[in-house]
Amino acid sequence: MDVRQGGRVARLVATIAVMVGVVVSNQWGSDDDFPFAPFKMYSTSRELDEPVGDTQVWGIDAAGQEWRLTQEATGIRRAEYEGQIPRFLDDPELLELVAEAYAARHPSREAIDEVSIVVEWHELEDGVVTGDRWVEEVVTWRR
Amino acid sequence: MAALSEPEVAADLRRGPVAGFGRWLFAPLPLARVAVVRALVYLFIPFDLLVYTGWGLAKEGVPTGLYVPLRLDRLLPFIPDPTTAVVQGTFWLLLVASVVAASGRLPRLLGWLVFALYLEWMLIAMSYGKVDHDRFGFIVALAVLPTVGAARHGDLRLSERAGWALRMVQLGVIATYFFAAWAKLRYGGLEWLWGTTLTWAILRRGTDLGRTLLELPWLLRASQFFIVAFELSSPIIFFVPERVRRWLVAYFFAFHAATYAAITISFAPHLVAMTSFLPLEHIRPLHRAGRAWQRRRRGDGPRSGLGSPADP
Repeated sequence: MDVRQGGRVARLVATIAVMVGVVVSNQWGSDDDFPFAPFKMYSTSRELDEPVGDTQVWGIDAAGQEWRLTQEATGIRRAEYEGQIPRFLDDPELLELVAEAYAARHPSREAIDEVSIVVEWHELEDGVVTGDRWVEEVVTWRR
Repeated sequence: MAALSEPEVAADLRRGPVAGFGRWLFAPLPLARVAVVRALVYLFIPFDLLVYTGWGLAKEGVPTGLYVPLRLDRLLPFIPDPTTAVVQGTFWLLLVASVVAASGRLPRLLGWLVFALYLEWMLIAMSYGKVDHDRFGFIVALAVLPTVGAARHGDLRLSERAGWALRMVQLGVIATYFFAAWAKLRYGGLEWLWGTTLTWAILRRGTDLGRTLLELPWLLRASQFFIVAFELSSPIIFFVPERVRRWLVAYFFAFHAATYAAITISFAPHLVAMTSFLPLEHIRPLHRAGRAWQRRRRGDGPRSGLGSPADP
């Protein structure tokens, strides 16, 4: 089953376009260029003594109860919070939308009045966890 | 190997690597292989929608203020904001279309529809601050499979359309490995090799098994060297004999199984795309089971090695 000349040329052009797209985006592109985003999963290097951060999002409802705002709680993944931290720092009011997402999934629960993004840092020494940790508050919104 | 027609031979004045690349790119493969890969790719989509990327549907309740459109979204004027209706509509249409497409019916129409819907699904899912990098090969598969047209299970006729489509999926898979190493060197530098990236990954999302590895930092360091080595050398799969290729694919699957065991990352869409390397046209469990059952019904004895002993 041969591909006719026209089909051959079209496929060849598509192949070259995809290959060039991959090379260009991996050298100069960013996540914004999805699906041609550079394959940068776990590509950042870290020092053996650099602390490791665990980003957490917490909400406090009107009754004062604290809730860990996980993916199940809001439909938002941790990595997504991390990716949007610059936006949240610029405009903490955006965290109210996180409270709205929580309310949409839990309409019977008390509304969230405060959303806080914190990072729990774990101390590393020579690449081994020492057990020392501390919590850093990144950005908070209060109703 | 399909012969080039006379006008094509006459027009092809450049011999050597360019013509060789063309022959390699269009090397014919059995249509049945496309039929199987197509079924696997399209049947993966319901699993993707319901389980693997199950958090995507959760975006129906997330305010669109948190949606930050990607470049492709900004370039295409008709992509809607992901309101509840848009998310749910895309979800259900994609779910139904992919299941029907898996049957092999209307391969071009349904193939293009599934590709468009899946791309929209990805634009929804990947626009909240995190882009996943496990599905480039899969998306290439969705884009090229419709170009093959009809492909029936068991049809061992060789086709250049099938060959090109599967070759493109293979290129997508290997590009993922090779450029992942490139990205490590670009974003992480050489220091990535002896850094603590794997430690960080295990601390973030390690399993109990993964955490035991934290006691062995030398092993994690060695693994990092090993990962970059195998990613950079992955294109070798195109130059080895068929038998070796299957072992390489098995090795890749084993690597991802180990990664899953340690940090619950499975790269599932990528694994589905990787099946494009395998001679799946010979695997026909339903067909074989059907034939065995028919033989038993007729009262024939089982063929040696196949089926179960006939009832007394």
